[in-house]
Amino acid sequence: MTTQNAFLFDGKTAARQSVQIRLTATSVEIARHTSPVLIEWELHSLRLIDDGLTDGTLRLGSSASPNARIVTEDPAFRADLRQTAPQLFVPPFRRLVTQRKATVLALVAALLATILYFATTSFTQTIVWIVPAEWQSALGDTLRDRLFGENRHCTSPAGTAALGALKIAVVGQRSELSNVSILVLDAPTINAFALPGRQIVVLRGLLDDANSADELAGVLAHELGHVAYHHPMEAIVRLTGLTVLSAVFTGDSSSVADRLVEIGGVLYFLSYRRGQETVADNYAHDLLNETGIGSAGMARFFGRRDKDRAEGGWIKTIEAYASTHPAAAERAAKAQQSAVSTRLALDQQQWSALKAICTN
Amino acid sequence: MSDTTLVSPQPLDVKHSGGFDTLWPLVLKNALLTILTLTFYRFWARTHVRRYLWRHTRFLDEPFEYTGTGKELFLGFLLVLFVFIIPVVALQLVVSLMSSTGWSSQFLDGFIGIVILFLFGFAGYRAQRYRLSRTLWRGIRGSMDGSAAIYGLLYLGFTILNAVTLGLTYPISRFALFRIRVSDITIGDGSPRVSGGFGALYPRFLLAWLLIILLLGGALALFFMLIMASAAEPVQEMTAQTYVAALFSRTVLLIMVPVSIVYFLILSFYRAREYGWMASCIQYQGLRFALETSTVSLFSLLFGNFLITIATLGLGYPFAQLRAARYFCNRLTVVGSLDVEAIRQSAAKQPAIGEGLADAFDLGAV
Repeated sequence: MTTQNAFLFDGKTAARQSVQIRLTATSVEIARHTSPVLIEWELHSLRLIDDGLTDGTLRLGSSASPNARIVTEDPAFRADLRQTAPQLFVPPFRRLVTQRKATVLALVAALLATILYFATTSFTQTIVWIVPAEWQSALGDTLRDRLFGENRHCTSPAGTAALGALKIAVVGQRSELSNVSILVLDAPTINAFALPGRQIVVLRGLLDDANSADELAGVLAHELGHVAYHHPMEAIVRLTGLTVLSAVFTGDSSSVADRLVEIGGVLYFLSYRRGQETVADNYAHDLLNETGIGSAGMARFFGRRDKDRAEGGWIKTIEAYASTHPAAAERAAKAQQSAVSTRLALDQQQWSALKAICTN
Repeated sequence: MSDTTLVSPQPLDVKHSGGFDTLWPLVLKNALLTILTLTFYRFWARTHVRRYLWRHTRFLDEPFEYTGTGKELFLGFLLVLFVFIIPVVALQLVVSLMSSTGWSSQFLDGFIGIVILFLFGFAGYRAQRYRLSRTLWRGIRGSMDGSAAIYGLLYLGFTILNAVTLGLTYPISRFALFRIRVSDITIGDGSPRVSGGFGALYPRFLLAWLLIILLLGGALALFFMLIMASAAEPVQEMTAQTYVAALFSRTVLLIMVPVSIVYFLILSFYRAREYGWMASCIQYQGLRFALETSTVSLFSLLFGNFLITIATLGLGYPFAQLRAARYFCNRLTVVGSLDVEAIRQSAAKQPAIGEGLADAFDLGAV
């Protein structure tokens, strides 16, 4: 099959040369009219640039000469080529993807995902043990400053002494809780949390809300549980990993810095897993019973939280489902079960001093 | 039998034959695969869209061809991930772990900000080089014959200058960067030339600049009026949350929406002049270029593309690209003579992998 109606771009200049092309059993021969064969492209080297279905112009290239192109509008040539070299007209995707390849690929992907899952889980815990204690405290300080830099550190002398006494009463003999520091910040929110570097921050709102030192001791014991299991540091490492991963998936690194700052933000609080909260609760029960304070105060505190929620209507209920903390009622019931109290966490005078720690 | 020199008293044709009707199946397929692969398909998706856009653009009745591959873009991305993204994240983390004062981490953030600004220009230049080297027209490839680092430094310098001069040097920076980005282009072994200067941009720019100042001032005044108005309202039952929500929805509806529309109008007003002037400054062989722009048509292009992109969460971005390609192709007039035989293939080496940095900074304009 020979067609006169063809053009060659030789890849050397932008000139368009009028040529004739001939299709043989093994190749395409390109020649200027009436001259000897100029170029010969083997069929297996051919690449289909445009199949000519949209505008009737067939375009061919060859791996032998990557920039050169031949163009023809002759439908007969196209039909002939399609018969001689049908594989050329199979979409590249279908040529590439065979059933066997796809199966192997899926298996490899599943294997990789499994390895990745286990690697990241144990990796997180390993890193937590590697990071030096000084770095952990420095990070804890940075986070506290970013979150509550504007809130005053409450340090009335009598209150500080009472806080120290409460710490000794709750920590008891546990060696993993030595060096823990507890401080109160002047913020109205009813909350307390553990930071990297064995720090626990209590917000003034929690002191106002608590009816007795035993209730506060319950909350502290829970946070001490997080400290004992290194949960704060684990959350940070996990979040950093997520940040890098999200940069990988979205390809957007410009906001990596922003997202790193967010580590100190809302995400930090949301990032304890429910399992970790349960572990911290169990730790708290053991600790409270061991020290003789008992978990009755903890039960009362969570019981009140549950009542708040019941009055809060359906929005609060949804919040509870989405939350990582176990349901307050459940926690209160569990704490009640193991409640054995043999002593008070603080005497009445100390408790009053602690409640007034933010007033000078 | 070659058509060596094309001289035409008639304008030479630039045509774009793409349309929504032929593009949407591709966009749909790309969107599905991109979601299914947790966005990893995006390199191949972008390649397919470029192939479509190039193939439907014709000059002298010959289509352009995009020869890049998704694999090249993916490898470029991997390179940037390992030599840039991961080290930067690690560095930031270590510094924030070690400093409790925040002083050194602020210093580092500032330093990284400057580096990122430089890399913005650098990456944009490199991306243009990659795209040109993967563009084939009549068997001839393009490239960029210059230094991406110098361009990156200039970009950084001009950005700082513009900030210091409150934007008054903007046309100078735009024209200087445009001059480099065009005169560094090689088509085979030849390059376009850029003549003229930024002076012609200033009359309209100054007007636009004043309008922007007025717009910002007006928006600010309106914002304070809204705050006063909400503060004067009876407080009944209004918690802090609902108060903020009400203020926010009013701010968005009454300020942000009209302000962004007027902003796009002023931008189009200036850009219409800028694009037209820049096109008229380019000369390639015996060819001169004229771009017919207008404020209204450019506004409809820019604002329409903005709406398309946000309404489709970015997945419909190829439609915006198509609209831009059609706008510029259909409004571009090329006159003069072209000696196609004098355009020879360049022997310059081509970049082996794709525009990873540009992808990292989301500069994938085309």
